[in-house]
Order: sequence, then structure tokens, then C-alpha cells
Amino acid sequence: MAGSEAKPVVRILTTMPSPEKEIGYILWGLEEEEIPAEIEEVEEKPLKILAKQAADGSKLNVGIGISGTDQMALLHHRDLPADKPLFSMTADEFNMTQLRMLGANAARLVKGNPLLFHSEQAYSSGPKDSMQLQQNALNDPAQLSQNQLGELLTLVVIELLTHIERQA
Amino acid sequence: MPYIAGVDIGNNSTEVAVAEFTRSGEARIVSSSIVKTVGIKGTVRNVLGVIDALDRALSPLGIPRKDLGIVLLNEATPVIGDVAMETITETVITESAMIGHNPSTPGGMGLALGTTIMLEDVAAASPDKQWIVVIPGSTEFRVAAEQLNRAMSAKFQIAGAIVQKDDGVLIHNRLHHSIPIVDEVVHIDRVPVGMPAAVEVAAVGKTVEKLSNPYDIATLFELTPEETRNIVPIARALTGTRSAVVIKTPRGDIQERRIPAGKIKLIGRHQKVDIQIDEGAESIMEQVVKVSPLLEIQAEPGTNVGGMFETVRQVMADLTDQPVSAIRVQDILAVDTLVPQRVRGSLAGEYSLGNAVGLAAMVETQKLPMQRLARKLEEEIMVPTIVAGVEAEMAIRGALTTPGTKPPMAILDLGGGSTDASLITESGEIKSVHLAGAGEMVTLLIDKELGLDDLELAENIKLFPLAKVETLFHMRHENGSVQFFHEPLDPRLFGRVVVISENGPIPVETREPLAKIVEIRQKAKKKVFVHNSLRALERVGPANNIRLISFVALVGGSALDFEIPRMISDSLIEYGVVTGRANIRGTEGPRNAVATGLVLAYEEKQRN
Repeated sequence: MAGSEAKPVVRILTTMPSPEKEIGYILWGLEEEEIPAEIEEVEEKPLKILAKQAADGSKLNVGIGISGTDQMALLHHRDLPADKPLFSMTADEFNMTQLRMLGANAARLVKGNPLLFHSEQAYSSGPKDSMQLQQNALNDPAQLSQNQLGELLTLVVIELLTHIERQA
Repeated sequence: MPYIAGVDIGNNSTEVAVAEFTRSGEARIVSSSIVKTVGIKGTVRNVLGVIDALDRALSPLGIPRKDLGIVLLNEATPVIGDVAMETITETVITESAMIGHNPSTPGGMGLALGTTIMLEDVAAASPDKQWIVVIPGSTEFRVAAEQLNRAMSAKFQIAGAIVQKDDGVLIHNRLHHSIPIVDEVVHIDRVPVGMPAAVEVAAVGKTVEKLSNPYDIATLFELTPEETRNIVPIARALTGTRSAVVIKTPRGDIQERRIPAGKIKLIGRHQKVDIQIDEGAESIMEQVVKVSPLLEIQAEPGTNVGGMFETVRQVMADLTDQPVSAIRVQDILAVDTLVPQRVRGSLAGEYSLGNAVGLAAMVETQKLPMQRLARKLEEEIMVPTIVAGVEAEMAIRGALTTPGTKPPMAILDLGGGSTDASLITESGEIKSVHLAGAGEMVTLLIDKELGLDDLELAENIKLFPLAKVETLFHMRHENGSVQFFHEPLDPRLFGRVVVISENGPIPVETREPLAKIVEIRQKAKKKVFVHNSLRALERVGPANNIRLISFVALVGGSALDFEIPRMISDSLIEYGVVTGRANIRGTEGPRNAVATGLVLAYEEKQRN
């Protein structure tokens, strides 16, 4: 512990037995983004506390807590409240793509670069592709707020009125 | 008749001024309001907005609508503008020949020259040649690194690699010898094998040096002078990127193609001129000045601009119940711009900058069916309603209530579709002009130059300042000031440039840095608003001379913009003109000029 506090690294705390393979995926994400990390095995603890502890002990203010038994991983930042980690990977996201992205996001959080939200985003290079994602959100009526719905309704009514007016 | 109301129906907002008549016959404005205009200006649907605006102005006074003695409408000048863009050049690749992009983390560093080969074929390759290895996404990075290492120790000469996934650093870190690696090449299957290729990766913070210089490319591939001429577009497209690949294919060809953009015909009172749009904005505007006064402008059918001209005329024809043939486009504003375009036939979704010309058009007719609107309003609210004054005259009358002004004064109204100016001389003569190009043009330029393809976002970028989200708890605004938050910001905003809109920060999904977006925004505003302000003031100024105007007041919504008033004032200061935002009646700011003017004009008429 003393060593890791001296070096600027993203800290990864894992409960025992440590999930070697999954930690490896996270490390790949960090490595591709060129940010160093350090792993430490600790006593069983709630994962949120673990992740927060990792972040608090990191010179870069970024930490990850991972549990092989629960198949879960959390990304935390020192400035965030303990019960509000930045990202939580649940058991069904406990796979290579998602964990590698978690590692990449830990590194991006350090660098101040925009975070990744979909693994396919890693391959997009133009502004169009990410636009698409936004567009989809707009097309989903469930995501419209009360105000937006109202506006939409007004537009539809106005459109209808114009139509009737033209015909008359 | 104790109370009267002046109503101004504009393209965007409907404004009301309510006045009380004193015993001595003086009108005292006691209340005002502003709402969004409902429907296109001049149609009967406007009535809904007018009633809303009247109610809002009357409610603080506690007066019912029917107590109004009269409602005064403005004689709106129907002006409609629209914008379109013609792209003049584009980069076309026939047969894949280049990759130039900015993957956030390429691997290694330096320049490599060799022949392209698939990773699986390396083991059977010739040991005497330099190879550039192509690694598809199906190969895991550890496997790729191991195979490359094995090939290197077996004396195969591996010079560089092209990788599909974001694995550049991971592969590089596992190699025994450093080689430059370009990753995130989406269409790796389009990379031709067995062809001479060069890979270049620059150090962090630098950009490629060799592959952005046509003579270096010529040196690497031993090109003839003819071939060197042909690769200029490649070199240009690769300028400014951190990593690049150039592949020489036998029939490979990259061209900067000029797209026929059609022509426009300027018909003036004294002469006619045909001009090709691809000659650029400067020569188009030169001709506009030469041919002026303009009677009509025609565009070639089948082009974007031709289509836009037709739409504008159609809308105006519908609005005023006139045949389309009677509607003429009377003014245009052309602006040169550079738009990022996806390179056709590219391998990694590269963009190159193409030249384009943005054109705004304006149509103006004599009269809107305002009488119809007045009758409809009268029916609805049961208050006598009259069309009481011409918009331009009323606006300037209202603007003259700004403390510290006197004729000769000009007003500038920078709207959405057109830029309008009016001037009142010392003798009270009023002259006004409507020009093509305003807010919508600025939005279009921002949208195209940033390659957003999202006009709503472009509109927000035009209206609001930017900020960069630097941590989960703070953002730095474009003026350098830092704002802290108690709650963490949305992680989707982290590390991004955002627009501080009315509904909170919106991320701008582009790789352009904040400073570049600010530059594009300010340039767009200058190209349209400053240019048009000068054009408009020259037209209305005494003897077409801006210097003979003493005061210029900005009215309307765009006068409230956070940077336009300063830009215009900066450019007018050299003419010795006092420029500023109007302050109608000393209280309303740049709003309510026309509504105020209507009330004042009515008062004067009553007195005489």
C-alpha cells in the first residue's frame, strides 16, 4: 500500500480469490490508453467501499473495485460520494469487451478525455457515428420529457391546422 | 377610449405595447409583452399568438380584453429568406490508396516503407522484402504480437502494421522491436495486399511530417512529376493527422474533383450577368454590387440553390395568394466556406475539407393579407382592429425613444431569414431595405463547417457560449472562468466541449477543440451579420455613405446575442457611427420597437 501511494497509478482492489483473467481485461483497456495501474488483493468488503477506497488511495484519484465471486466491477473517483460510483459492471457485463472499456474509461478519466459508452464507439472516427447514438435517443419517445412531448403535440396540431387552411 | 394596444407580428415573436390615454390626449405605455409567433407571419393563425400576447400584457393591469378601445397592427413587409449550400470540390478515391486519421492511441513511432501483406501470410513471405502487415479485427492482439515477434526473429523484415481494432499500443508493447502501427482502420478488408505502402506515426502532440508533403511521398514511392501532381490531394488530406498510411496501387487514383455547381443569373435594372457558383462568394458578391440595383436573381434548376429558390418562391406565393411566376428572388448573399466531407472510398472514415459556397436568398412582396388577419382578430376579440402603420416606419419611431438618439438614425434588425435596415433623415424621410442572409445562414454555416448534420445543435452553438467539462465537478467556460458544481456532472459530458443552452449543457459531438468551434462560430457571424450590416447601411445611408449616419441602433432578438452587437460596433467604429443596442422607451432594451411605434403614431394622428 505504501508503494502505490507514492506512484501515480490507477488502483485496482480485488477480493480474494482475485479474478486474474478479468483483471487482465481491465489492464488491457488501461494499457491501450497508456495509463499505469497497480493491483492489490484485500479482505472481503462491499464493492462500493472497495472501489472508493481504491480511488481514495490513488494518486490519480481513480480506482477500480472488482470481485470474482460476485462477478462485478466498479469504477470510482475520489471526489464522488462512496455510494455513487461512476460505472458499475453487473454480472452480465462481466466480459472482455465491457471490462476492457471500464479500464479504458478509468484511463480516460485520468486524461480528461471523453468516455466510451458503447464498445463500437472505439471504432468510430467521424462525428457522424456518435451522432447516430444521439439521434436514437431522440427517436425513443419514452425518453421525451413532459415539455418535449407538449412541444411535439403543438407541432402536430399546427401542422394539421396548416393543412386544413391550405385545403380551404 | 382609455386603453389602446400596438401589436407587432414578427417572424419569430409577437410583441404588444398597451397604452393608457391621459385626459390631455397623451398616450402613456403602461404594459408590454412578448410571445412566440404562431404560424407563418401574415397568416390568420397568428391570431392565437396575438390573443396570448394581449392577455399577458393586460393581466397585470387587471383589464379585460373588451375594454381595449382599439388594436393597432403593423403593416408587415413580407420577407422570406432561405439558405442552401453548393459543394464545389470533393476528394474521391478510386481504388483504396490512403488512410489518414487520428486514432486516439496509435502504436510506436516513425516512418515505415514496405509491401502490404496479411498477417496469416507473413510466415510464407520472402525474407528479402520489407513488409507492412495488415491485422484484421478477428485476430486477438496477443496472437498478432506473438506472430509478429516470431516473424521478426526469423529474420523477416516487418516495417509497420495496419490494425483494425483499437489495439495499436497493446500490440506495440508486446513487440521485441518497435514499429509504427496505425489502428482503428474500420474497413481493413479494403486495404489492398501486395502493394507498396508507407506507414507514419508521429510523437504525441505532433503531426505526420513525411506523408503530408507531396515531395516526400514522391521520394518514398519514386513518383514521376505527373504522379506527384496527382497525390497532392492525399498530402493535403493527411495534413494535421497524427498517423497516416499511403498505399500505391497501380490504378489507384485520388482526385480532388470539382463538382459542377451550376450558375446563377443576376438581372439588374441596367444589365444581366451569368455567374458560375464555383467561382466563389467573392466574385459572386462583386457582380451583385456591379449589377445593382437588382430586379431578380435566377438559379439553375436541378442544383441545391435552384431547389432552394423554388421553395422560397413557392412559400411566398402560398402566403400571399399570388402565382409563383410573380414572385422573384431579389437579393442573395454568398459566403465561402470549407466543409469536412467523408472521403469517398476511404478506409477509416477519413474526412477532407471541400470548398463550398453558402447562398441565402430573399423574396419580398408588396403586401401581406394583413386586412384579412385584422378582420379575423376583430371577430375573435370583439375589439376594433386596424392595420395602422408600415413596419419599417413604426420600428424607427419606436427606436427613437431610445435615450441619447436623434435623426439621422438607422436601425438594424438582424432576423432569422433577412437583415433589415431603416434610416430616418433629419427631415423625417424614411428609407428601408431587406437583404438576404441572417441567423439561419449562420446556423447553416456552423452546421456544415463542423460537419454536425444537426441544425438544432448548430442553432444552440450559435446562441450560447461554450465550455469544456474538465472534471466531474467543474467546467471551464470559453472566457476562461471556471464553474464548480456540487453534484457530479453527467459522465457523458466528461472531457467534452459543451454548449451552455437554456436546458443545461449539451455535448458537442466533434473532435474539434473548443477554440476551433468558437472560431467557426465567430467567423460565421462576421461573414453574415457584419458583412450584411455594412451592405444594408450603405444602401440606406444618405448618398450611400455610412459616414453620414450618426446613430445606429440594433433592434430585435439578435441584438440580444452575446457577441453580435460588439462585432458590429467594432466594424462601424471606423465610420464614426455611434452603435449600440436600442433601449426602447429607456426600459425595453432592443424589444418592442414596432409595437411602441404603432402607439406613438396613433397618438400623433389623434392629436392632429
